Amino acid sequence: MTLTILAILAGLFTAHLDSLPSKEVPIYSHLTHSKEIVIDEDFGYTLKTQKTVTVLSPEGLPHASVGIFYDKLVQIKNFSLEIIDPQNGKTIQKAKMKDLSDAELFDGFSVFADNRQKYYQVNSSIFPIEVHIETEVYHQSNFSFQPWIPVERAFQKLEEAELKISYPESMGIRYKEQHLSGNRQEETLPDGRVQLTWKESELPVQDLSIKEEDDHRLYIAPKEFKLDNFRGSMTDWSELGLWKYKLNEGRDILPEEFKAKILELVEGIEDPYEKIAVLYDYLQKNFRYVSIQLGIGGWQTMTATDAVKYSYGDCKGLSNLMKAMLETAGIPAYYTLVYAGEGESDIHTDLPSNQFNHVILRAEVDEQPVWLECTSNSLPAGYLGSFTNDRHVLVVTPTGGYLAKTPGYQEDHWNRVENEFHISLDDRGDAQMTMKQHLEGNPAYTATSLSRQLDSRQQRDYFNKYSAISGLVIQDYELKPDHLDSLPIADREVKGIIQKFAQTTAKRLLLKPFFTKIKLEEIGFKNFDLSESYTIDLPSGVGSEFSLMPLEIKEEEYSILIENRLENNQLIVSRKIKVSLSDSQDEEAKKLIVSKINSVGNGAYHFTKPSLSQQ
Amino acid sequence: MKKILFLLFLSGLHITSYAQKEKFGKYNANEMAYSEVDFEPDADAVMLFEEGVSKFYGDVFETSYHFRMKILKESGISRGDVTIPFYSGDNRTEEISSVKALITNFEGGQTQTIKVEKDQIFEVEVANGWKEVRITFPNVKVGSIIEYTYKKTDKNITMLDGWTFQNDIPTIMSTYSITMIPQLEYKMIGQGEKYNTTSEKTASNGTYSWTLRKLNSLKAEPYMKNFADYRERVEFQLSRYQKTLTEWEDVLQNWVVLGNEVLKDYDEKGYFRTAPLDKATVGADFEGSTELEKAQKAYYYIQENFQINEERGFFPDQWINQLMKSKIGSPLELDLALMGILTSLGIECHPILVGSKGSGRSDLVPFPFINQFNSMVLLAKLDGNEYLLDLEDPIAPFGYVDLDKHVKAGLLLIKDNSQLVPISIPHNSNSIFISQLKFDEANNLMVEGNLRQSYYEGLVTAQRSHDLEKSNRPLYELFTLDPNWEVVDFEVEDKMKESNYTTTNYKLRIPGPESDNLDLIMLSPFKIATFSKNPFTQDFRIFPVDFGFAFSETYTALVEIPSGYELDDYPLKESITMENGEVVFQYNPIIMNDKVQISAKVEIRKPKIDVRQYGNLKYFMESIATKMNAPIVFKKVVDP
Repeated sequence: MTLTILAILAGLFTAHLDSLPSKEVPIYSHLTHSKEIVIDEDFGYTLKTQKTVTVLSPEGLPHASVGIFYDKLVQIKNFSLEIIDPQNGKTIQKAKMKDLSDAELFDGFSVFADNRQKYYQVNSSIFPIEVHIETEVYHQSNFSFQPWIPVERAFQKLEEAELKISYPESMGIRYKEQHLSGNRQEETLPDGRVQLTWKESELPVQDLSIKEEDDHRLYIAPKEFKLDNFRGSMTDWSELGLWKYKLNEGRDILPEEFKAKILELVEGIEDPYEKIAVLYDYLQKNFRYVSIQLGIGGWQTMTATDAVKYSYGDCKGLSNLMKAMLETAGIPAYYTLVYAGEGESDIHTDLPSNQFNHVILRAEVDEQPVWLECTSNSLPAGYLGSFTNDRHVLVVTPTGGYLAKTPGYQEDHWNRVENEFHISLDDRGDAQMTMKQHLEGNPAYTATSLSRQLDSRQQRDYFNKYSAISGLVIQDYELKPDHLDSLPIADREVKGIIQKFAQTTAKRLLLKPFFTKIKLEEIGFKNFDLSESYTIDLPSGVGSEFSLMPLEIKEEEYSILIENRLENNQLIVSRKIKVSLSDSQDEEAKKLIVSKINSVGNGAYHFTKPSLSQQ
Repeated sequence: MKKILFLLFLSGLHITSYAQKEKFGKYNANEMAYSEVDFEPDADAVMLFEEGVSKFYGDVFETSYHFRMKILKESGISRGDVTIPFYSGDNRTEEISSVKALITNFEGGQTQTIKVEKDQIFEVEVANGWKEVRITFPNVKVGSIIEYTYKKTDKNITMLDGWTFQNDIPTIMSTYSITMIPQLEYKMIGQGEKYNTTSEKTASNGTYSWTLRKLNSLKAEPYMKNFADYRERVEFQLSRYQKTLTEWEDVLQNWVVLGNEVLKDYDEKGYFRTAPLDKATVGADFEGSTELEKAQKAYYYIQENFQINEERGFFPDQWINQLMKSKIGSPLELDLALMGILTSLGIECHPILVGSKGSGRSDLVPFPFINQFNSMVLLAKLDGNEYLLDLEDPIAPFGYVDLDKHVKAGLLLIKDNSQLVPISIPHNSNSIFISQLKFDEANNLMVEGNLRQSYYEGLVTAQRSHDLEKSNRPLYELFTLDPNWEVVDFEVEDKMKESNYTTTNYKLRIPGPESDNLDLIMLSPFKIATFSKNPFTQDFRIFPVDFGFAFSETYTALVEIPSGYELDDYPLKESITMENGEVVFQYNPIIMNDKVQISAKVEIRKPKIDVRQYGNLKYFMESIATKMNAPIVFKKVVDP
């Protein structure tokens, strides 16, 4: 007899967690500020800021604290701060330049950089307080501008914000408004300079959930610019790319001895992809990523000769080196700018400007791209991973730049996992488990990159922590990374004991939930393909009371097929899941889909005990 | 791991053997071939050799450092970037010089050594007087030997750096020597299992050395509090120095001297003067019929009118006048201000220095080493009873002490009478989960729950809900809920001040089946439970498990039998205890007419569990998790 069963071991079906009425966003400070950017004939500019922050509670104190960036190209000219008690108008505290603290601005990865900040932390035990802040900072180059963001902080009420930009007409300014009221004025000043003014007021108070694309912002870029001694124009991507090319021109010369080594490495290889793979492998094995960013060095690559000398470099240095290596072997390759980061928004393609924080390489085989992430010691040639995939990039060529898009790795073959489990129960309810896993594409790379960051003990623990089967004690663990051309693949074998895999009630023997749990990041590439089988040796004489009929669920975003067989005290389960998401699903929707998939069929394996089933 | 601490006087050492010096850039065949650490095969890098040699040059203390490390796996390559932090301050207190570094690779029978050039060695001003020397090694790969030396001078000779023989990677050999001068006398503590058992110690003509071998890496593990407990280490503190040919000056010789030194600083900064306090607290109401009532008023006065800054330690930065004006201070400064108010109210109150969990030691060394303290609590005598007071937590009620300060002992500071005193903070922290589960007409499972958490369990929830409210996050984020569940109602009531507990009331709707013709319904009754998931996933541990404090959690779920169904099956009664009584678990089903009541209780009776018990603990917690997830089974009533 088979029964229809509801197992509420975890939540099922659809409903939204955010069902409680949303609360009003609290306000911790009020803000009025004005900024003025004055661009000089020599392409430098001065940014003056005047700000009044009325802090209402201790949570608003960080809103009034000041942090001013500086480096070799940016100098702090002036700073003053005054804290006033609005109840009586008395000054509580004053601060000047000499009162600023100084600290390295560590980006989390650079060994050495000249990025620093001077900062002042506002403290108070009485509220409200009024904090008046004035700063003046000189930038030697107009190469890039920070976006203007009228509402600076979450939980802050904007009273009024104003931005003025004045510039020589010949130099020009371009901009992109995002969710602004359109309160903009343009005028010609008596000295012939052009001045643009934006004003915003009474914008909504934001909480921490605000997304960059929903924020009120003004993105600003120059037409003509100069960085160090390098002049350029960025009215289109081609010109910006050309400027970048000129900035690095002549820095890709390799030592003759090294050139000979390159030619030796590719000798006898005809296939261009194979040449790329061999040279990329050589780069990965012999060079490592080290970030050193000083002055113009934050923009310009180190020379290929230095990279060879030190066997390291940052993204610019390693990409430049690899480009030179490929060109030595007769493969065209182009330095490529990208805004990198997991899940980052794409650049504003309609505002050619410096929107990049990373460099990759575009090698070419028959005019088709082979993308190379030169800072990685493990990616296969032609695979970028989630750090730079599916976004617009600026390819730099001797004749100018052009936008291209990196691959999304969304197809099935980039997102495939196959699992084969064999589990054997003992009399105590513990079980011996063997798992063989084959990963292709993005999942393979995730597993491989973890194995390069964690030592073996940490890898076992990571696997255990995210394993669907709780109580696993790993005895053997092995991950073998490999690749098939650009496709990362990996095979993992895990052996161990599952503590308390089965438990008994008065009448039944129940198996712990064991289906592999899909993770949110696994459906991040939109498609995902999981196929797994379980062979579970059961104690003799147990009887099944759950349905052995296949369970098939087909939804718009996913399909699930679970098939069960019970033969000779062996439970054999086959589970196939296919996920196919559209562009419209946001993070919350994806979480819900993951939760739904993971709850189907899990915890439903239970058997009548031998004594009862024989009755 | 058994931890033993004891004290050694320098003169008590004896000669056993000499540590072997290693030449910079010269490697033996074993080092060249070394590829796996036999006592820690998971390691991705190993410290083959490290040495510190310390000497005095006048009143400057200099240590020469020498490190030799080998990269064993890909994940170890990032160790090619080495950072050496030092405190320069305003007076160049510490300085680094003579940095030399080289890297050697062995490939195809060839040895290639590259000297790290000066332009690959950076000195960075970090912040607040701290600097770093950063070395970037070229050509780092699996098999590389990285080696570097440098000298550090230190103008502070009261507390010497000492030497830690362990690293976050395993260490094959670590050796330290110090040459003393007759004009300075130091007390030393050595700690650690290997230090006390197998270390090779030498003493000759005022030079003392220690060599330890085969040391495990020291890495944090979950449920591990006092990192410092486990370090293999020697430390030195000046005990006296020669002022003239015949005259010696004692320095921190005993607890009384140490106590007086600390109290002197408090006194100099005005914390024993009542005038600034009286002036600043004019109008504040500290009246009460009992000392307890007065002390509570003073405590809440400070808590409500002062802000806590980020400064920590047991020496105040500010003078009392500055503090009373700014009303912003470190927890220590606020504690001292509270002490001042209590004293002026005629209440006896003294500071106690403690070494907090995380940065201090579990057991204090019975010698006045000042470094073993890093924070403070107050001891107040109120109506004949002793109370510990602490203003570290801006929302903690009167009488609560920051959990990191729940230590065994501290140094009670009383002028000319300072002494070590035991610290005892008894509390009955517990959580009681009560829930009712029933299906509604639409087949949804409705869960109504009430969680009452007492004392420090309650304080933790109060803190977390306070933080969620401040960041405008929903309070239900206190729990990890399935995204498919609907939160109908959720509220937290904070009764910590009045009654020492918090109450969390919640109502969940778990959407039910589309079919109303099910043969069986299997229902796991505990939807929200701390131990329904085993917190221990690591296959082994190096250090003991420390839960922080003893506590219990009690669960009661009352499940209504769905209409048209009958109870068919349920988890059996169970009562299990770990071998030494560290953790106890009870599970008890009671069947009623139309309901099933399941009760469970988890008791952590001994918060610190020996690492040798880890396997048993992991299995035990898995047994608890499995039982907490076990279902009740309801069967459809078949019409006769």
